[in-house]
Amino acid sequence: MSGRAGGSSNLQGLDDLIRGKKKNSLSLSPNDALVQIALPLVLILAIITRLMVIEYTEAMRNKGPRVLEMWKQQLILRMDTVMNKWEKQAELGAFPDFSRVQWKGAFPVDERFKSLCARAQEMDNRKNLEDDIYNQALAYTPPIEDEESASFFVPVFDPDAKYQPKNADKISDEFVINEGRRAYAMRHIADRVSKWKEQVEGLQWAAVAQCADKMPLNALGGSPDKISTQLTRVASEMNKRGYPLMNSVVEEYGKLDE
Amino acid sequence: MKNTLSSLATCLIVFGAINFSWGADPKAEAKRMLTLRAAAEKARTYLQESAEVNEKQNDAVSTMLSKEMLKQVEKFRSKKDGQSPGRDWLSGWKLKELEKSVDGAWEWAKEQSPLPVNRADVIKRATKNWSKDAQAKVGQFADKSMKAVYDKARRLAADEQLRSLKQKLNYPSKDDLNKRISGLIGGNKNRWSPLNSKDFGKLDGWLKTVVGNAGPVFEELNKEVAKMSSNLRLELGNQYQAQYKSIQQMVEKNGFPKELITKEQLKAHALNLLKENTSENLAAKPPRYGVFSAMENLVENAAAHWEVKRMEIFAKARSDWLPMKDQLEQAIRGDLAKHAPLEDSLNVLTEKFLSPANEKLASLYGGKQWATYFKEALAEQDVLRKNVTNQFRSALKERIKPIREKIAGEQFATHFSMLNEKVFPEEPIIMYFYQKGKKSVTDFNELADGLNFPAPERPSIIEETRLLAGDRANRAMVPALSSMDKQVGLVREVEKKKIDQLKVEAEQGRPFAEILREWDKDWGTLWNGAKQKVSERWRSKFNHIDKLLNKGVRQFYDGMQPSSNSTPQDTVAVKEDELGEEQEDTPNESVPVENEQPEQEDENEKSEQESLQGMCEELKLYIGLADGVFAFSDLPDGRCRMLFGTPDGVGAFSVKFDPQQVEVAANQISGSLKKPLGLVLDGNARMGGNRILQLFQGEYQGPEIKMLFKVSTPAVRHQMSILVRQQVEEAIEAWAKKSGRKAPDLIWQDDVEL
Repeated sequence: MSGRAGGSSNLQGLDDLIRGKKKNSLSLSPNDALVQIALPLVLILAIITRLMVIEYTEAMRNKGPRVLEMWKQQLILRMDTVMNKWEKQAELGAFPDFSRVQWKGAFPVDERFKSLCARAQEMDNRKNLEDDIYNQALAYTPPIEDEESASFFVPVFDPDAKYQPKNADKISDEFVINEGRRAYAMRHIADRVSKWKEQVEGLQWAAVAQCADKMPLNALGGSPDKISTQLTRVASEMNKRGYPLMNSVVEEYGKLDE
Repeated sequence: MKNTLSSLATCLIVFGAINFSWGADPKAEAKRMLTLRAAAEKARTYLQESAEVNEKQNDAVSTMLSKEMLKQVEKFRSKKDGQSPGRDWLSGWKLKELEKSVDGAWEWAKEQSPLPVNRADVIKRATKNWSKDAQAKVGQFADKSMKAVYDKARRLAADEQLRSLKQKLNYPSKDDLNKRISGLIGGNKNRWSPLNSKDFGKLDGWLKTVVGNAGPVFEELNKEVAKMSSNLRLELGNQYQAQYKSIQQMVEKNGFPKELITKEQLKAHALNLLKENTSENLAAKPPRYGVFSAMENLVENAAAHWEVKRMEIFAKARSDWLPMKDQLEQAIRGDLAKHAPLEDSLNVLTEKFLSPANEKLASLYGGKQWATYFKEALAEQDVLRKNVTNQFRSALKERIKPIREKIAGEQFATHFSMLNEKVFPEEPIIMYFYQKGKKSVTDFNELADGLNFPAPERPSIIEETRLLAGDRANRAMVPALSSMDKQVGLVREVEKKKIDQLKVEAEQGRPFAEILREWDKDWGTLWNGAKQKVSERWRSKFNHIDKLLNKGVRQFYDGMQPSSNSTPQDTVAVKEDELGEEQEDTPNESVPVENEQPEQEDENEKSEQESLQGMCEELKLYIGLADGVFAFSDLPDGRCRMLFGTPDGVGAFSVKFDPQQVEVAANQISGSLKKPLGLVLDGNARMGGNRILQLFQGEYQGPEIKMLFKVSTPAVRHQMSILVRQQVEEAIEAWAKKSGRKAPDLIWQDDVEL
């Protein structure tokens, strides 16, 4: 009986095919489609994307040789030590984001932010700062009491640098910094200073925004057509309170004397 | 469903991206905030700008407001009423300007900021309460700028409307205008004098409605609109005057060709000339209306007028249509009585000769062609007939004048030649007129009576003869009567002066002749002083004066005897109506002579009323002789009675008195006389202008009152007359003072028989 029925069904399908009738093979509701198809598909896509990002990150990390050359190790060690010290002194680490800045009324009330702003002025002349860091790194000698750390440091010598060690002739060629090695060192410093600058600029722009938001409008109106005037006014008010802004922020709309 | 889901997902992704970017880019956020500040300060600047409109802005705003006014003239029609909507508009405009400025600042901020900027944020930063501050600002602006902007806007709007009105100026249609101008002529359709500018002024009301139908106008233009209508009126007046000028010579000065005589000919000629000189262009601005129907009507009326007038001129210039002088003289002499008054003569002659004269005139003027036409016109047209008749009479009057003068000369020579003689007038004639109280001859019949001219011949004496006779008579009569009046007046003076002395002398028995001589001497002395004012011919004493002096002395001389008093109850007033009825004349008015015994009354027992009735009957005898009559008569009881009466019966009364006590009686009479005499004087004063019958009198010599002192009893002497006369004179003076009128001259006629 069932065979006959199945045969009839097949015949019907064959007949519909001959006559050109469309056959609705999918009978899912929209809700079924969302739950059974779309969500799993999105989930699968998200997982695949995450896996690809991890793989890419790991690949980038393992791009260079796994064991650095000695001069490179020594330079990086010295430069990171100096730059860590600068970061610490500048209180840069205290402000991973703007929300950490203490605020009262229209202006910040935060000694560490004040210190950061003051120290960030050095970045207005970036080459000096980077040269200074490089020379400090060449001249760095670990404290005597920290013997363990001291064992990692080996004297390096750059004949063209400002700093010249006393026993330069005794330093092996492996630790002599030539032009190529110096360029590598300077790139390393520049990368880090760039990150500092970016971070400080972000903080200062956020501060400008908040000041601009909270400061009362100029009673006389001033020169409302120029946004630079508004920026100058904010910068001036912050400067008065000990929060000097970096030139790259203040001169966003052109140099002040222009 | 799928579409919905995909849209939802897209929105979520975009929203997330925006939020991520906002939070992630502090620089962009800072720039947005700085831009927001700048825009807010801009918006605040707009709010802080001067609230007063400057000159440049004023021009623009005034222009815009003027356009608004032109859209809503009804609302802004009155300067005062338009201030409120004007201020509202100004506030609204300023608010829109502020909003536009803020929009501009916002647009600018959107362009400057890397992140979106909300308009609400801009406004919120600019001021705490934008709505309130903006309203205050626009209110302030409206207050301060209203006067400058509103006044200028009204000027602009009014100028524009005036320009528009002038462009769209409506003009009345020809038919309407003709009706209106014809209406100015009024009900008198025969009027042919032209309309003047004042007449056209009556069109102003209508013209205003025609010109000003463009709708409501600003009140500043009321005068201008009126001026526009008055200009139109002037234009119409000018067109009318120009049309009239082209025919003025004809209409006013009979400037038609001589050969045209009928009104149809005159009209056709004038209309042709009028149409030749008047252009018509209804499409022009202002239109040229062509010949007005009122002007055509005027021409028609003028033609009718000149048809008559030209015929009259013809008639005046010719005399061959009038009757011949011989015919006229023959007609007058044929019946002098009918032609005695000039007017009657003219009427008779006109009736007799007018019809053939008219026929002849029509024939002479119209010739063969129009003789019948003008003959009918003379018969049917009232104006023509009347004017030609008047002309005929006027010509006739001139023509008969020498004829009538000739007849008058003949009649005068025949009947009144004595008036030219040197002896005229003899004293009896003078006395005749003097006793009638005349100062001159005022009536022909009076003169004729005085000259004893036969009554049957009088009707044939023509008017000119009568005037001539009166004139000649008065030449001598007036000075003679004046002299007589003065001489008699001196007699009265002597009487007054000598009466007291006469009493004494009479008692003393002085002879009558001696007293008379003394009176005569005194009179002569007075006359010598007065006669210089009298015409030389009449300076000698009249015989009548001797008689008067004799009579006066005799009266007083004989009357100086004692008598009893009369009582106040003796005075009785007589009802007026008793004197008003017509009664037959009593034939006997004879006066008793001196020493003659008075007739005794047979019926002594008659009642008082019956007695009064008798007196009234008696008084009526004297009506018409004077303004007042004192009639004295005896009573059965030995006393006397005086009856006073007037022509119309006013104030009549009677008094009984003792004739022996003359002064007492005179006072009694005087007391009773005051009121009736006042009535007589009032009546005479009212009738003062009644001089129409005084035909011959040269000049008016002032008011006068005539009293007749008629005595029919021997008991009453001349002394009584003098005393009563004195009382009457005093009463007249008192009346004159009281009434403020001139005292009339008293003419006292004694009729006391000795």
